[in-house]
Amino acid sequence: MKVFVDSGRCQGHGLCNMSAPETFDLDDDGYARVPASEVPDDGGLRTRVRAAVDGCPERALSIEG
Amino acid sequence: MSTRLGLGNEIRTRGMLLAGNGLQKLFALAGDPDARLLGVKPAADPYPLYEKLRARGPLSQNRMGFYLTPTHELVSAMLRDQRLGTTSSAALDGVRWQRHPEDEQLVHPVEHSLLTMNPPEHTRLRKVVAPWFTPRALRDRTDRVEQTVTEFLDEIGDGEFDLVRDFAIRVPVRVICDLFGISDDHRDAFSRWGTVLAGTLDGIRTIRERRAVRDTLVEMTAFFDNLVEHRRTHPGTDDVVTGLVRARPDGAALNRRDLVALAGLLLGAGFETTVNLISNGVTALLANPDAKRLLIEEPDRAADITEEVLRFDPPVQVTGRLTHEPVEYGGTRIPANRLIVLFLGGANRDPAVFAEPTRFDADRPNNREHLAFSSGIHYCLGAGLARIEGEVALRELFRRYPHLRAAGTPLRREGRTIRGLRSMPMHTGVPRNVLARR
Repeated sequence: MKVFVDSGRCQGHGLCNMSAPETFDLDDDGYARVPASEVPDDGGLRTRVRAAVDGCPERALSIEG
Repeated sequence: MSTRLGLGNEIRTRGMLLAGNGLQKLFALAGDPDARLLGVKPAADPYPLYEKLRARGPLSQNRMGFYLTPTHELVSAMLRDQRLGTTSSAALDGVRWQRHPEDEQLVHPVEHSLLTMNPPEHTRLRKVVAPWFTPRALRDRTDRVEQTVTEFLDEIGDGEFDLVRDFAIRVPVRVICDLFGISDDHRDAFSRWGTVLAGTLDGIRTIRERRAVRDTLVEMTAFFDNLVEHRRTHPGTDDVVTGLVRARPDGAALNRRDLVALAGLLLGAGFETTVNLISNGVTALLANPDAKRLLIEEPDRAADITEEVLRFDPPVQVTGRLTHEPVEYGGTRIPANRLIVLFLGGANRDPAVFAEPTRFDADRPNNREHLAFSSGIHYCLGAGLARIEGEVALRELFRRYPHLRAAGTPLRREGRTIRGLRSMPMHTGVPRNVLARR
């Protein structure tokens, strides 16, 4: 499972970072970054990443696979 | 001539107010849950009414032709649906606060601001103010919020106080004044303006309210016109008004109305919501001793507790969207130009998303999925700041006063949109062993 952030849409609400900090990092201005797009099948992480993707107010996150 | 125009306008308004109120009252008497939610006298406890509405199905239509939903799935999806736009209640119920032609110069911080704008205007203005609310900008403000909270708790000292007047309102007013680079000397006026405008977010219901809104806008517009002029000649270093004056989105300066409306919105939204986050939080913690104990024993959990307060009893209970084009949700086709009433307070208690939704539970794994800050392009700009204020205020209040208790009957605010307390007489509490020794 891979996750992507559309930096043109991200407005820096930071909700994804609150849900899954292992996957979603914030840059100095607070916009989301995904240092490693591959999300490991690690306990509840994928579930939390999916929740973050569904919950993004700007629909800036997407999942592949 | 203008007097006659004014009088005609006044009579028409009276008629509309009477007709609107009359219908709603009739529906309320008939026991219609949405009339009791949207009616003249808001229910003291709206949560059972959301459940009645939920029992009717995810999307229902009321007798006024509005669509209503209390479900998390629909509220979340609709808030993020670009085919739906915002609208001010004034545009819907037709009751205007303007009484004279010169009133067109007055600026309403809700009707003329981001809150009721759609893209592309919304996008352009939101980008101008966003830099003050990024996580990095907020990290720099956290220490100042902590100092502010400590200062006000020191002033409360020991004994009786009013939680709203002496604490819950003062913290966010000071925080927003800091953002504006102004002193909070005018806090009584700010608080008065906020009460009038927040109380009429869901429409003007009486002639008295209409007069109060206009008088407030006269004072507020003058205040912000002056502040903006002052910042033009005396720019500050990092205050938000200097930023607004200097902003050149798409190469052009903001016009007067946009400037004054944005400043007014930041001020009003900055404290009219957070005051209720704090008062609703204290109410929930006093009613839930386990959560209170958790906060006192593990102050690091204040963020989780604040998040659960936002889910359990959100300051903004309802918002609305207007369909720009026909849409279909769950098999129901909604034509263009229809109002959809979205009950955020109902979505936050949706059993499909939150197990045992009526229970206050700081350990809830998904409490951040609440919609207290809305979603989509209008997601609360100040959410991060509100979270810091709620977290610091609740943590430090109970750290200082673990035996905090009610010392009188709390009074609820009026209005259907904003939920919170107007007054909360409290006693700082004294440990039992100290009482015994006296």
